[in-house]
Amino acid sequence: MNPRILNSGWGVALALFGLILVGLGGQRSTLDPTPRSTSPDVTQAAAVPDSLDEFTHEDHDGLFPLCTGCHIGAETGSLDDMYPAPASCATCHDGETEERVEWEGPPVLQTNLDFDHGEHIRENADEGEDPLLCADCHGDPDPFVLAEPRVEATECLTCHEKPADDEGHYVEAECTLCHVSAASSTLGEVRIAELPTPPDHEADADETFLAAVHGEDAETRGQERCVTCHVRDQCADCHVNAGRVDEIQALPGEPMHTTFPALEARYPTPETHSATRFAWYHTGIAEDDGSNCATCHTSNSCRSCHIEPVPTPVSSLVTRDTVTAPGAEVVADAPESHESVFFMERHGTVASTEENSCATCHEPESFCGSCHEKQAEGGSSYHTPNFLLGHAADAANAVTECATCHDPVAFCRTCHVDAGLQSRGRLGPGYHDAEPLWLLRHPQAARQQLETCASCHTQNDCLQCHSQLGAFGISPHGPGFDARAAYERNPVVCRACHIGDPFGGGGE
Amino acid sequence: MRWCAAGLLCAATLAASAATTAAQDVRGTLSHTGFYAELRPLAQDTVDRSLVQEIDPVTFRYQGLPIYCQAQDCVRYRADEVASTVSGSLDANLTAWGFGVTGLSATASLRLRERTGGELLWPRTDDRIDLFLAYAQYARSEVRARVGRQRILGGLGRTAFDGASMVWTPRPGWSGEAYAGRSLARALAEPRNSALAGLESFLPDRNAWLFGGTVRARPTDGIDLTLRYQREIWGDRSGLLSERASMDVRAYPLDLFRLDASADWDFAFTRLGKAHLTALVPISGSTVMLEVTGRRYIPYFELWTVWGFFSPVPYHEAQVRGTWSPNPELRVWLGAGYRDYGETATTTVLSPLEGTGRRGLAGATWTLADRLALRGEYRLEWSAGAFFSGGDAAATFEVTPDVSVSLNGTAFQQIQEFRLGEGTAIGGGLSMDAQLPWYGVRANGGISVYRAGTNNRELQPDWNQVRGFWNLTVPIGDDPGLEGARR
Repeated sequence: MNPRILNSGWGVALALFGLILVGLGGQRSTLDPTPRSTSPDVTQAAAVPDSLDEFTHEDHDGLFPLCTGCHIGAETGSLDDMYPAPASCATCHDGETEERVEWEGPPVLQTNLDFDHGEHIRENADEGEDPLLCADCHGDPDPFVLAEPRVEATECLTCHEKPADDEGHYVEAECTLCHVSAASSTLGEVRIAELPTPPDHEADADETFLAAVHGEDAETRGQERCVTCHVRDQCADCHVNAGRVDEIQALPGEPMHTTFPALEARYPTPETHSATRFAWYHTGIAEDDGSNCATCHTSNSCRSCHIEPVPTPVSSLVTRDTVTAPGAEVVADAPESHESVFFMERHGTVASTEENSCATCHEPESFCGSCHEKQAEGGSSYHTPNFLLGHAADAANAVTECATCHDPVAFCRTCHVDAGLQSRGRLGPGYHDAEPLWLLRHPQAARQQLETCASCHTQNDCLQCHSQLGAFGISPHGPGFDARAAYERNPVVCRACHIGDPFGGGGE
Repeated sequence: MRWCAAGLLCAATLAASAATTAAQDVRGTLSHTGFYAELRPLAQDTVDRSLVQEIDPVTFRYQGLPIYCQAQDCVRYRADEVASTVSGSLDANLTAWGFGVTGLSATASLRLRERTGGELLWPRTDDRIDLFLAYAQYARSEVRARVGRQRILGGLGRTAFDGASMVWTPRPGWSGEAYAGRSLARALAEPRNSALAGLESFLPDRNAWLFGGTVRARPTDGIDLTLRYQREIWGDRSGLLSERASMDVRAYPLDLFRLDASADWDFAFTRLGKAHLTALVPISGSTVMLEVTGRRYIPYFELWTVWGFFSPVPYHEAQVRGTWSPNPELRVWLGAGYRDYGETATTTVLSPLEGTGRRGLAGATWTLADRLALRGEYRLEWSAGAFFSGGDAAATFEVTPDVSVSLNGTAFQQIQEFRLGEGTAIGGGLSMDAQLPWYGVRANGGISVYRAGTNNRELQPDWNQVRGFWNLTVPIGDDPGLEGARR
């Protein structure tokens, strides 16, 4: 290609203007775009041609006094007339007057600008202002040699009444005022990947934009702002429910033959999740409005913890294998109630009130049974390894209710008998030799720690004295004992001690 | 036994059909546990009256210790020879589903026991088979129904029965449950008349029936409430076995602290049973967790025993405990409690026994470099007839992510059940836990050695004992939905 031949300075300006607007600074997105695919960049071949750089207006000094001589389209708004026709170059470059050049028209420019020179000129005139000259925007030290072909976005914003700083341009301006959506632009994949990152997108420590801003921003300004750089397919890189969100579905999709860069999925933890009771009440939130959960969580998240029963909202979530986004990972961990060292002592209350909550992480049959039915076989984590050797005080003082898991007769007494601690059915100090006159002093101990007595003594041991037929006929009943009520509830047991009418003899 | 057979048959049938139905699966564990334990039993022995010192006509001593004499017979307890036992059990916990009906599953929990050595009869090792669970379940959306041997854990403890239960959950936090069936012995998986046969004189040889219901409610966000009622009667309607109700509450008053409370009422004896109220107050974030508990304890006895008619008294206890966790690696806890037994209304001879009790504890865990965890705790229990002062310490080292080794030690002093002398023990052990690379098998085991003795009974031999245990657990099937994320 002949290096000297191309279009006028207007064309160069327009092309560079576009480049500046869409590629200022050449920043890469902080969302760390990685190629969604390795498909060839089909528009890369149509990148700005060398000839653009080769053509200089200085070499044509004096030939074209007016910009519109070559770029009449800038005035009429016709893109077809934005550049001179190849034939008009050949007027001079005919091989005799000037060297022949080969030029077949302007290349397809990669741009996402929605800018009409003619419209600007006409609107300016309609508003009764001074005629808008090319140099007003493109500079004017030499009317022919364009000193400042690049038009910065800030130049636009001086009239469009938006803050003129960069952040204002990227954050506050309505992008679609000047730009078409990336999906409908002629930008190639490389250019798209190099689109600048607006300052408010920059990753900060608390990921405020991602967690708190971008959702509302997308809802309210999605069509005016987000679409300038993004397509809905990129939403699906993070949003596991992208296919079900109307706002996302309203965004333009990825055009055929152009692959937008994949966004790195990040799931900042919402403030609500850090609340003390979040694990406790999160099911209610999901019940009331699971749409928030559905943004980051697939049903796999729920099933990381929930075994049985699986809460109803889970079924409304998508499963991980049906979406491209990875979804927020949930690792089952102990809830805050378990963090107390003393949780085990009162876990029954928790289990009673929130049985389903326990079943979230623990398979009740095997997990609960590992202690409640382990009983004597060892290996249970409920008691410390050395518990058995020193369990007597714990049992006597009822630190916990042993009988919940251990039958006092079949379990405790069996072992105590084996250890020689059973009663032989005779009256005497025997085992309890620390207290003089124990037989006379035992009633207080018995009423205070009766379970302990029953772990060695049979009922018959006691009835030797505490029975109508016993040696002394001593009533075991304490004050306020309602004998008649007891008899009505279970007369059989009364007759263990009483003969005939229980109210006529024995203890009462 | 027939019920056991029926349950097994039911579970086996379902399991068999699971094996032949598409999309079926079985999940559960097979676990073997074995242990070795030594014990020095006490034995009654006679002593010639001529060797006994007569303090007064009713007080006698032998070798400085009290002895009981009647006429020319004097009897004492002395330490016998050390006895031991080697026992093992095999547990199978299985749930099978996929019988062609969505929501239908079958669950069985079976334990086989065997005493393979030693002269000691360890508790329950004489019962070779226990079928804890054997039920079929149908669960769909709001309804869960079970038929077979099952258990319910709740405010009234563990309730096991052969029968049917149904839970209806109209909305999260709200549910109703009803259950009925043949009642099984408390903490045992058998009817009373077979499980306790020969052990108690007054146990009727008949079945008992159980009826009960539970209502769970979440009246407002921040309050969970459970009410349970349960009644057991003898099969011939000759009498009541038990009739109780319980209430459990969890609440977050003002979102400032958590409240756990429970209470049960014994209709049979018309009295309040156990109760507790615990307030958990986080301080400075959650660095300090203060727990204040008020507790009432009174033993519960079924009406077939005479024990409940002996008018046991409750104790009421106040506990204050706190946990300090300045960082995830360190946790320190302290606690103290004081309890007061109710008036026993008994005749005082010589002097009354102590009617109060105290307890205290202090402990800490410290994780070093993610692979070494230290734990230590000191405990004190102090009341009439039962005193314990001692501590445990353990160091667990994670050799690899799948293998850890623990060293533990203990030292304590105790008196028990109004027996003369202070028991002291010092000991230590080594244990290991490993996730084996085959079929998800987990293995753990340990051995402990103690030196135990009794002060003030110098003539009795010390009790130096060895104990050990081992366990192998094999998972069966995958846990659906967990995706390997569960720890």
